[in-house]
Amino acid sequence: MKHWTELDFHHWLYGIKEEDAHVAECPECRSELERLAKQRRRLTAEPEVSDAFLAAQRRSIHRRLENAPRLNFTAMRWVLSAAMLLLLMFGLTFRNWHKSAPPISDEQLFSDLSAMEQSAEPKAIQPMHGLFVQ
Amino acid sequence: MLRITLLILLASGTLSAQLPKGIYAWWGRPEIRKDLKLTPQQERQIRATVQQFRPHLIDVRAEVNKSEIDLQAQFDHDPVDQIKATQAIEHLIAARSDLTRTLSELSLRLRVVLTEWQWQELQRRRPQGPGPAPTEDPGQQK
Repeated sequence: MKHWTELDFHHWLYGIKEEDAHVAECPECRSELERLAKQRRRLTAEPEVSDAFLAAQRRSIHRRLENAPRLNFTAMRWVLSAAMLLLLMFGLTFRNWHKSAPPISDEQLFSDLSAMEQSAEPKAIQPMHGLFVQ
Repeated sequence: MLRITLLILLASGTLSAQLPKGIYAWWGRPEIRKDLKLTPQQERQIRATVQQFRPHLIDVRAEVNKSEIDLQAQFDHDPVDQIKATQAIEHLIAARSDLTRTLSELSLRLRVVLTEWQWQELQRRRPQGPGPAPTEDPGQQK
């Protein structure tokens, strides 16, 4: 009979292929099958962990939790208050800045522009105007 | 030199005084809008045109004011620096010229929106001399 190929062994490992009469009779294939089965058992076996190891691990975790740096709520309160104050100041400044430049109405703007356009001479030379007017 | 420039400035002021004057925010007055019988589309166009020119007009107004102050400062300076004073005059002329140009362009854009009759009506309501614009048509008084 024909020996099992590598693919046959892989299929057997993944449960796709059943053991057949050849494996039962062929010492070579049987030996390879047992080797693979042993290796699979070894790889899938749960690691042995002692109670002492687990206890030590728990103690270590508790120790780390106890020594972890705690949040300083007093300092945080001060930082939060300062941030709020800054925000308030910024808000007031922004509001006043907006207030300092009120939008001009069309009425006022065009009244100013019309007055500017209609003035015959610059303000600076008005005192001199008399020199040129009879 | 400064004297000649001043004469030119005065002459230009007199000339510009002959141009159509008295632009005022008539589009903001309900009674004028009503008398001109502006359609909603005309009102939208007028508002959009004014809004388009507004930022530049605000800049021009500031520029003219600044130029006036700069020129005044040059006149008040002792001794007068003729070069700087002449530059200040040129700056003021440019600012005033920009003002006239921008207002004229705005007026033209608004004129295009109006019909002939509306334009004539607006002309008739143009304020005469200093003081607020007329708000009521004497011919329509009841």
